[in-house]
Amino acid sequence: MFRRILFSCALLVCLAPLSAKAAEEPKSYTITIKDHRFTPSEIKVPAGQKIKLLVKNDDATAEEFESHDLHREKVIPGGSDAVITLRPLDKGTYKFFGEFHEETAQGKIIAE
Amino acid sequence: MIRLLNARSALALALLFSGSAFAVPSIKSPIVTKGEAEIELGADGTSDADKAKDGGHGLTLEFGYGVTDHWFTEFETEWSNDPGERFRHEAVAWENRFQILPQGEYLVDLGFFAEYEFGTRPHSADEIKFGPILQSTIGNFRVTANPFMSVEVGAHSEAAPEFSYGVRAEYLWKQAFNPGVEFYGKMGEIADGSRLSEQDHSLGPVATGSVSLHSLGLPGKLGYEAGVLFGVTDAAPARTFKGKLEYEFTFN
Repeated sequence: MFRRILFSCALLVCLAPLSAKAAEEPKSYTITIKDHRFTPSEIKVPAGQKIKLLVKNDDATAEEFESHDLHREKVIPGGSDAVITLRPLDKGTYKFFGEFHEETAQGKIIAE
Repeated sequence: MIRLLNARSALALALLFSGSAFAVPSIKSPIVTKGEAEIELGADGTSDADKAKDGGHGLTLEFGYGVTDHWFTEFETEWSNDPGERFRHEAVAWENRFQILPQGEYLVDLGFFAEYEFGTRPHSADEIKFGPILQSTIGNFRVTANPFMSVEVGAHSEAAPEFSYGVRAEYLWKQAFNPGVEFYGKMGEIADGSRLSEQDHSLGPVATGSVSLHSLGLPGKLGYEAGVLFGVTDAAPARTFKGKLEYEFTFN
């Protein structure tokens, strides 16, 4: 019984991530944070495809990339960058914002 | 016959609650954020017509920090009481979560959980708990699974390894309110192969959410979890009420 459970857990851990590896490298889009604003603030991406966002923070202070629509949050320290991988999106508009400077740091991704 | 069954149920309960009695049930996430700090206060309590399962309580206080993009470490102190017993300090624990895969790269986000719990009651055993953390988000639906193994260690260890699980299925509706369902189970000592009625399985509705404090001029977010779990086996309390408050902020 003990061995069977251990084996099942190991199998689950090994196989789960392999189940949906993308066939090709996803398209990458760069967003820069400067003066607490996102540039570009609007990005058009293909719907139904995995994409990567390279978010560069050129400000001296940290910013948190946050999106309720995309179910993501990622803290990006000042002067550094982060990659955010998004699984295929349905057609639509997905808003994101900077948690620490929400009044200015606003943007959206349009999947079409 | 009924007395015999009751005695057997009481024994099963005693075994199930002999480890970390009434630890507040919670689901662990595989996602780690570097620089993020958390202060968490959790509580739970049981209610049942059977006195052997009524009036158990747990209280936890946790301090955690994202050391790297892959490692979140947390210190926890825990008080609890089994039904009919005195509420007192139970254990301190060092908990670690490791994010193994980048979020969103695969269908399943994978992490690993490892905890060492130091029993602080006289003659209580220490415990190591570990296991994978699996999470998948499809559209607005998210499922997180925690299949864990726990092993008693130290001078007072008696119980054989145990398997437990926690699963949350939720609908990511609003930042402030995500409704969901949680399932928890303790299978008892693996070597014994406990019968289903002797195992502790429960499920019930939960809600989670958070609100940003930036609009109030304060750093961070305030998060919560609240729910009630209904026992589905004889060994589980009829109802377990659980709640958690969390303050999350970032050092950078």
